[in-house]
Amino acid sequence: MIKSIVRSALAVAIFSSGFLSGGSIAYAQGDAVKGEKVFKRCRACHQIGPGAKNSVGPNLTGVVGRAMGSLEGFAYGSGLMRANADGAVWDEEKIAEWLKDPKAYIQSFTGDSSAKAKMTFKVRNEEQRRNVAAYLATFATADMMKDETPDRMTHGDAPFETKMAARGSDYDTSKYVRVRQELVMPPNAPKHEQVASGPPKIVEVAFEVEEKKMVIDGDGTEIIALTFNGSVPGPMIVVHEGDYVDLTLTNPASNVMEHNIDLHAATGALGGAGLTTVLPGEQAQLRFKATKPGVFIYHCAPEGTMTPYHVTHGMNGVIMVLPRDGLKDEKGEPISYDKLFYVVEQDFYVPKNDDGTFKSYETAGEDFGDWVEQMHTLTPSHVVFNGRVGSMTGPDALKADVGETVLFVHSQANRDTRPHLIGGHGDYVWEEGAFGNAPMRDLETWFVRGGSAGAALYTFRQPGVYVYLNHNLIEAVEFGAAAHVVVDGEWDKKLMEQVYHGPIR
Amino acid sequence: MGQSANRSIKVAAASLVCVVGIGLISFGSASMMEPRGQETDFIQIDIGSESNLLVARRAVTVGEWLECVADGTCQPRPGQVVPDATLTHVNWLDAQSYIAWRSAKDGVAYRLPTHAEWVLLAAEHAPIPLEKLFDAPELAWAADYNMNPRPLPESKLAEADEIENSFGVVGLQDSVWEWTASCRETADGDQAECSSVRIAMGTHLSILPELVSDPSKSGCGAGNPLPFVGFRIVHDQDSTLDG
Ligand code: HEC
Ligand SMILES: [Cu+2]
Repeated sequence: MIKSIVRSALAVAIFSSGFLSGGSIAYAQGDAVKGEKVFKRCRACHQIGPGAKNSVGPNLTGVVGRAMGSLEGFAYGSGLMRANADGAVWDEEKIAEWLKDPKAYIQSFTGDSSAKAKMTFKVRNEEQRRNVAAYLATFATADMMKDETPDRMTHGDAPFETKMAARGSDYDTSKYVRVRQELVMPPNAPKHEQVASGPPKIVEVAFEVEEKKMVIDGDGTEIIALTFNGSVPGPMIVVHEGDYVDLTLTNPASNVMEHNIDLHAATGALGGAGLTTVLPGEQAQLRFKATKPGVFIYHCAPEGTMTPYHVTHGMNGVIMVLPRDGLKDEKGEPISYDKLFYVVEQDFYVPKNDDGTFKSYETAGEDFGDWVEQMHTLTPSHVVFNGRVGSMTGPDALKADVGETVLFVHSQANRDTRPHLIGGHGDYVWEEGAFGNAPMRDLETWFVRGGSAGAALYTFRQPGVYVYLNHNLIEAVEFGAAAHVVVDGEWDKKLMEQVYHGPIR
Repeated sequence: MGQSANRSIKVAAASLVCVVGIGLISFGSASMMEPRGQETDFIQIDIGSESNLLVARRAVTVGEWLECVADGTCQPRPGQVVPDATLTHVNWLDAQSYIAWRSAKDGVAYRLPTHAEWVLLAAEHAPIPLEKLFDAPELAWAADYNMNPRPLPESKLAEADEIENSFGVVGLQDSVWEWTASCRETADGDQAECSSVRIAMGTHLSILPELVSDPSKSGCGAGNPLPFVGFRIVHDQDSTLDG
């Protein structure tokens, strides 16, 4: 390597002082400007300039004046290897000859009629060969060492640095306090303040993708779920407007699929998906500012069919961005909650055997073809809350006391849903989840659009059992989209009383 | 280097007898009794490695696939019924199971070409990387968005299917992209640790999840999706399987 840099530096010095490239005096030098056009074809296999790497062919930065076949990490054919051993060095004339017919050239150059050349591309036009060789000579080996220059233009307007500065002085994140959010499993929300006590912070969140078997109903139907942190849905994230979320997404090498995260609370890069796509064994870290208050979904979004496939295998959840001064009613008066119930509605599309039983699979992705076929019917096999039928019923029923105020946060990444609390109401409802808007009052059923989250605040007034469900009763009862809330306290006769029950009077 | 292209090798899949130019080579123990199956033309091509690469003249056809289906190894694929047509709607794993079946049957170690091999076979019309849509390093994730017109309208499919390049290889420029063995562009060896994604080659490079058989479903980030994906088999010169 070092040797070839010295040679190239020498070659550049020769060109700049007006000499023709080495070798024969008769060689007519080409036109580098015209050569740049010819080089377009070479780009199919070669890179050149700052940041260039070996590709199908070797990196051509500084190739004029470089020893033939000399780049480390490129497996040259036997011809260039032989030429390298013989100490041969590229000049423009040799390159122009090589381009005419690499194999014929290297066989005659090395005098070995069995010498091999890997470059199967030929340039028939002699002028083009000379021009492209001249173009190659405009790149010095020193260029190879440089990284991408930061002062380039962004798509024709202001230089990048200027733009960054214009984005606000608070881009310097060193003055922010960093806190790590301790994530908890649904239906719980992480510990959080409703009214932010200090200035905006950086909230660190660690997500690890786990591809794992999960039982999704009472019959023991199993799927290979795709999960954030081993949970369907992914854990809830809670921050305040103006905070930064600093999210690390890890895809352990034990997984088989590519994953990423698109957060509807984030701005740009496909909600972060463009910057977080990780193969097994990779990790990405994304920092974004939570600029909009509200409840937002997040979900995995690889390309194409993989997006609905991953989302319907469990990769979705909610991030809540609270206003710094907390929630407010329609008059702007502060309101708060004692508890938060985190409910993510999930549609599954489990393929069936011919006998009507659900199929089971051993590895992630094995169900792909069948699952996609079932997805195309738009008819889920299961519509459940928090990953399985009955996740919040019986022993796992939600609990509250009379007088307690609960914030129900409800999302559906795919399909529309219509939450309803049987026996209660939505006192304050942010249907679209946007806390900047005044809440609606006293709703019976509210609507959560597919691809969004909504929030409903309710103060329990009577003890007993409540059913919180998707009031498409087929989806709730037959498919599983229902939860129970067991409420303790004193019955209030003023609100309701059984006046009579018995034989018809 | 194109000269070797006209030395075509025919592998009669069922009989295991191959014709090289005018000479005869037999792979393994030939059984002439079996019925003739689909035939595949292999072209011997020098792409600079120590031994030549034998490249199927055209991509795997529906007819070849159906043989594997009839044998109980491969699964029928949607819409794949016209025997002469180029096979599409197969994912990378489907390609692997076909290759395993076909290799055992013919006694030849078939494989997919690597990305580099594919490009060298397509040298004269190798896809030129798209101009980056954005320069800023922050926008690298969006820079490969493809705003070019759709690759080829379906009506042109049959025509392009028959374009033969100077190696005699057919169908490298049609609307059926071809799976490669590689998951990233590497100079050589190409067998870098691959997990779940592979390069498919056609008139532009595309990285697809191994499980996808219908790449035409548009994602949000990739721009123009490719219409179809199939595959082509190759083998190394001395790749007769033992036993
Ligand atoms: C189809 C792919 C392909 C195309 C197109 C191609 N090359 Fe190459 N090139 C290669 C390969 C592969 C090698 C390595 C050859 C070997 O090892 O025998 C190579 C080697 C070279 C070398 C020798 C580099 C060294 O390190 O010794 C030069 C110079 C070169 N190419 C120039 C060009 C130019 C100029 C063009 C365009 C006019 C071009 N190539 C187009 C594949 C290609
Ligand atoms: Cu995913």
